[in-house]
Amino acid sequence: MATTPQGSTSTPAPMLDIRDLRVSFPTDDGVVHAVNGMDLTLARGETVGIVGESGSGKTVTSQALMGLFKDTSATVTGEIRLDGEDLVPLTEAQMRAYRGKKIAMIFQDPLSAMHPFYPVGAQIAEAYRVHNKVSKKAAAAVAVDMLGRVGIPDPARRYSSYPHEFSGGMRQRAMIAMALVCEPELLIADEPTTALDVTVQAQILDLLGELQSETGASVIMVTHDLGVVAEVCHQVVVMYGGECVEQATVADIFRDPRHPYTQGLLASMPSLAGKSERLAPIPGFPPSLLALPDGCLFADRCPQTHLVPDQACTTTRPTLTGGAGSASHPSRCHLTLTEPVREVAR
Amino acid sequence: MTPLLQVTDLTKHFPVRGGAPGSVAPIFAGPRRLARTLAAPGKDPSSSATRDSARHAESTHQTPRSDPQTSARHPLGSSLLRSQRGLIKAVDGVSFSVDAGQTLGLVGESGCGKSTTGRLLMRLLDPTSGSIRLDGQEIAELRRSGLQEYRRRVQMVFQNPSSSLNPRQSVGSAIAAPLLAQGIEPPGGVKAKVRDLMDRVGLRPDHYNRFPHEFSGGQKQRVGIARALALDPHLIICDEPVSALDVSVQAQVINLLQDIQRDTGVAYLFIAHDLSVVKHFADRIAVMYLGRIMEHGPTHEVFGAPQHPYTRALLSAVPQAAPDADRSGRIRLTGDLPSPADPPSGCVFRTRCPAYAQLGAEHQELCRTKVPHRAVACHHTELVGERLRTAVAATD
Ligand SMILES: Nc1ncnc2c1ncn2[C@@H]1O[C@H](COP(=O)(O)OP(=O)(O)OP(=O)(O)O)[C@@H](O)[C@H]1O
Ligand SMILES: Nc1ncnc2c1ncn2[C@@H]1O[C@H](COP(=O)(O)OP(=O)(O)OP(=O)(O)O)[C@@H](O)[C@H]1O
Ligand code: SF4
Ligand SMILES: [Mg+2]
Ligand SMILES: [Mg+2]
Repeated sequence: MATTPQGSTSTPAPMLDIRDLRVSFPTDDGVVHAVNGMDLTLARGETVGIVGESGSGKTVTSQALMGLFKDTSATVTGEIRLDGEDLVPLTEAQMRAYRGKKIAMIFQDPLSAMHPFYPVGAQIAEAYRVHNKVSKKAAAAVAVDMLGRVGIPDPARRYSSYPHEFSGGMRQRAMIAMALVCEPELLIADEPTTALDVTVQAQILDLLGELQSETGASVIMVTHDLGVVAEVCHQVVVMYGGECVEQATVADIFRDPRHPYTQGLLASMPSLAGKSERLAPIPGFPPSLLALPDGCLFADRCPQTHLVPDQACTTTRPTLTGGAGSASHPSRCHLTLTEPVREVAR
Repeated sequence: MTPLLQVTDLTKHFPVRGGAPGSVAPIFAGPRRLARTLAAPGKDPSSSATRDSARHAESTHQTPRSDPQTSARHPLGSSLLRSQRGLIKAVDGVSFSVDAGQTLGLVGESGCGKSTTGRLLMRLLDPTSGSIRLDGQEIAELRRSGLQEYRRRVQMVFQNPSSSLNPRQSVGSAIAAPLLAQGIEPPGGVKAKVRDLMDRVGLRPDHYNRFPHEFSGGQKQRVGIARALALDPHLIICDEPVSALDVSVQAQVINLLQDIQRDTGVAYLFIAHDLSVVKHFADRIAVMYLGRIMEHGPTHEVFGAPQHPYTRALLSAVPQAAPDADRSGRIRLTGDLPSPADPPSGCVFRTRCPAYAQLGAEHQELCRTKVPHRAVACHHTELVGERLRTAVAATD
């Protein structure tokens, strides 16, 4: 990897500062609370990984950062400060100046993010022309170059291919080319390598790392591949039920996972080295986002509730607290408030 | 004993289309929605292009207009029909078999033809040549009732959960659709069966009347799995069924697929990128590169002692979920994936083979001129181990 995960280098003004972000959607069945008080800070040039349960609000958080809910029925509250400026109150028209140029996103699902009836290369050239006043010809040359950089073979010829003519992985690389073409300062990569095999994944992660060190961009890497997290991220945010349940450096999350959900997540990974026993998923389902419980959102699946006095897990929502020990990192669990109890739990 | 599925020399070539980069200008000049109306279902039902387009029209909430003339008159339509030069050899002489109750893992570089293989097996595409036999029966010869029976017995879970679901259909009716299409009335009724399937894949009962856009990627994939299970198939082609899922849900789904296999004896063709998942799940594994199979065999053998340089590179590139893991000794593939329209002569992997540069002129000559028709598609399996160690040591 071009960027080796090091300890975080905290700068005084973070590139991105998210405070108490909440996103909800009105539906026929009631209000879906998809993001419920998300906090995150990200320094310039750093990479933060967001991992968590399917449906825990990772994509919705990313979409909110991109301002994609501006003219929709969704409700977005809280603060999203990019370079100190809050993006939440901006209108759709104001947001357009940021999108693509300052923040860009690589979508989880490239097929629905690309227009099916324009050649892939033309879509990249057009993305470039939105923020750069150049001729179509010059933009096309930039697009061909970009396609080559993300490893599309024969880029000049593939410029005029349509999205359906690419394999899943090639589409994802084209999507990455489209996001990178304006050299954004904050890149949100929503599962950028999910559709890629490991050798191309390694190339793409290298490419993202190169761009990052060239431009000093910050990267939010949404992924469920904990191997990718271990290799490219500095910080990790673990999400569950639309909340950040734990934030730590990469080293700490693997060495000392604090939230029982994080512990369960790490335990359910299949391993290349080990024997093939039955996998150990976390039993149960995530809570319905239509009616969130009062207590901890993980309580009905948590194996450690009995260690917390007064049934606090089912009655009181834990806050994201720093824990007792000096070397501890924040975790949204009643147990982490008292170091000795946590030791018993393990 | 005849295997459940026997694939021999399967080949699929696509025509290459394309114009000069300048030719897109008139398309951009036209309004966006004009292009969308081109989402008319085409005349050729075997073309995946029109299938995908039709699906896409649905996902952009446009009503597909069924006027095939539109596409021929429009500038974009004509560019689609324009010059066809060359052939993309998406699948190029692939052979494998799957026994009942078994899982074959299919892995390999993005674009190497795994999904195309799956679509050929589903009969969503017609092969250019080669044979596919289910229980000894050649499927190209199936007609009407035989074909309907085949479509019941072989199901697919798609790579892309969003575009395989109709956005205007509730997930309950999406799961019920295959039952209704085949006219099957399960004991207890369709609704009860659907609820049972939803429960099996870990969807909540209150999801029944919800629509796909209200679901996360992982939840959509569970809908796809429930739908594939509806007809109690004998073979399920799983095209990256768990790559959209977090590791805990992934573990649930894999355990679920294993339980179903144990209970019903269903076989899986399991396409995946995550090698640790394939290792855990598959009995046998086939490694593909540029439309061909490079190496295949029992999973523990291929993982335990990979022979082909590509397999070795693949295994060494797996990200380790441990920040302080030893990352030396990695084989990095450099260079671009060759175009499947113009594959290298001889061994298709030679342009990126890390062992190739370390070989003598005579050995290289063989790589360049002869296709390795061996169990492991490499001329020099005996040499590459040592050569790769030299190559890795040189870059470290
Ligand atoms: N437009 C919408 N209307 C209603 N509910 C929505 C909408 N978009 C998302 N949701 C719901 O919000 C929740 C969070 O979805 P999101 O896509 O952010 O999950 P995710 O963490 O990205 O999951 P995955 O890992 O599966 O991609 C899900 O329960 C989803 O059903
Ligand atoms: N309809 C089509 N027309 C032209 N070329 C196509 C078509 N469908 C696939 N191809 C090409 O065939 C090759 C194999 O594609 P396929 O989707 O089978 O790859 P894959 O192995 O599934 O890749 P991934 O892992 O990225 O999903 C690619 O080069 C692709 O561009
Ligand atoms: S045949 Fe030659 S080029 Fe191909 S994999 Fe073997 S050593 Fe490498
Ligand atoms: Mg998502
Ligand atoms: Mg595929």
